[in-house]
Amino acid sequence: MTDSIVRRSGDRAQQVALMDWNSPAHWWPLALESELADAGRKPIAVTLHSIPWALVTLDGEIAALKDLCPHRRVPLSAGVVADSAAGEVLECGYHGWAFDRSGACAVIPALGEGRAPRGMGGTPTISLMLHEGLVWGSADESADRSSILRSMSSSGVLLRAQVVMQPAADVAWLLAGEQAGPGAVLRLAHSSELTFAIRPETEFSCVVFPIVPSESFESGMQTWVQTLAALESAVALPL
Amino acid sequence: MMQPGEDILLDNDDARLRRAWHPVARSVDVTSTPLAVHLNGDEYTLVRHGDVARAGHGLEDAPFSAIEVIGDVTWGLQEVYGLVWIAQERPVAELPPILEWFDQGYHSGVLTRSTVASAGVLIDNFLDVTHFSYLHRQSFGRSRPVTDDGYAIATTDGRVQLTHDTVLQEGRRNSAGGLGQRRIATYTYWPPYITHLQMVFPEDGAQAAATLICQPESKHSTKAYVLVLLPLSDPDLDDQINFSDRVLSEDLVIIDKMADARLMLSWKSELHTRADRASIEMRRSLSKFLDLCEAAQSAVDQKEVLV
Repeated sequence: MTDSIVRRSGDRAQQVALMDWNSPAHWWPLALESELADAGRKPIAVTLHSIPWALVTLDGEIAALKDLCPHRRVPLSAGVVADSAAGEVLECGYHGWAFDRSGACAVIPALGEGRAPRGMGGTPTISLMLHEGLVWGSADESADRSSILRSMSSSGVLLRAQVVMQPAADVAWLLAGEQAGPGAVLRLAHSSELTFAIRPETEFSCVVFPIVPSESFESGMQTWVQTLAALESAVALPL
Repeated sequence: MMQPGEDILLDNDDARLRRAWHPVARSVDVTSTPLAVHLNGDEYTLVRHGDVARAGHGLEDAPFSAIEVIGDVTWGLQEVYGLVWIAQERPVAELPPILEWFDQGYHSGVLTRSTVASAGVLIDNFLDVTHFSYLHRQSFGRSRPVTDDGYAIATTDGRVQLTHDTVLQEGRRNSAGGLGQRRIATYTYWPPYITHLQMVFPEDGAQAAATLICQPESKHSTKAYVLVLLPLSDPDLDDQINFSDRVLSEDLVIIDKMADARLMLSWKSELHTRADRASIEMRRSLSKFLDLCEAAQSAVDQKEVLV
């Protein structure tokens, strides 16, 4: 693994910027809405700041539950949506413990039929926002969302998200230059029309969501293919 | 000693486990061709001088060919229950008795599987019954949730015993004309990683036994051995071995997905119901066993300082 380019730069402003990329007080892109629609009654696993989350549609609304059953620490994303007296719930595939949209434990089958868990066994959730085809998540519901709402165009087409094995701050800096900041839709450097969103997956990896305008889809996609290929082969500076 | 609120996860290659007997191979797999095996992160090579493995079911006193361990020093080696066992340091306990193995009225087979899950998680899964209607709906045929009905626990000198009286295959007509197959199961756990299951099916008088024994090969690798034991009057040993393999596969589908597949020794760090008492007692018993191992090692270390 390589150390962050930004961290090694020694630039104080960039050091501060790096800390900001690790802050939960932003909205981060988690998945395409279309992915959730295609998944149906199965959750999708995503990782944000090294914490796993299970994205799932329950009763028509998308929820993000921590991807760890509090019973035996099996990923909830290995479960399925089930019906219960409390509505649709995410049922763990190991013992059937089931959780509603708020993360509360709604069903523990081992307690017996008709017996509901009373305030035990909940799992954390994060707030979600849907905007222009992307599912955004934040640990801070009050985090500023204005830059996202401003910068995403309704004519943009989302390409398939790409995992890049480099820190998010570095990838954003490489793609968008020194003005790149977290929690926003960024413009690709040297391009007037190509934009992207980016999520810190772990300390050493991120997920890039490329966006192209529908009116220049083919050329935009080609540019993104070349850009991301070049990114993968970018060589880290020696420590 | 656990502190309140502290998560204590057991590494699969915990050094204290060097003071226990662990299986490293099936007897039939140890021949004159050197066989590399792994235990608690160390590698050993086994060679049998001859071609006679130690048999069971009344033949365990018959002559068998000795096995040599090449490589790192071990405290001891023995061959029993169709397996070859190594203790890397003087063990704090001897192997428990698996009575069906010594019974001439039984026959047996041993299946093996490898997994990234820890030995502790595998044992926890074997002792658990409330996952039957989720993981084993196809094999056991259990559709209704399992609760703590018919569930009783006893612990004696570090050994944990669970008795579970339940009905499987609820949709199937049984020989008595009713629905479902009643199974009275007795699970016995010995630390660190041995669990023996004895089953009686009262409707037709059938019996069976299975022993899960886990070999912690390394931090991220465990080999599971399932010793399948049937009375000689039941000729379907191969079917029972295949069934056991299928059941284990169903368990591994979910367990292999754990991001951190170590056993949580601090049982209060996870949530439990009354139907999880076997799991809790297993962790208590294992924790005490590890304390014994640590004390034994400390005694040796102090002696070495004084000498």
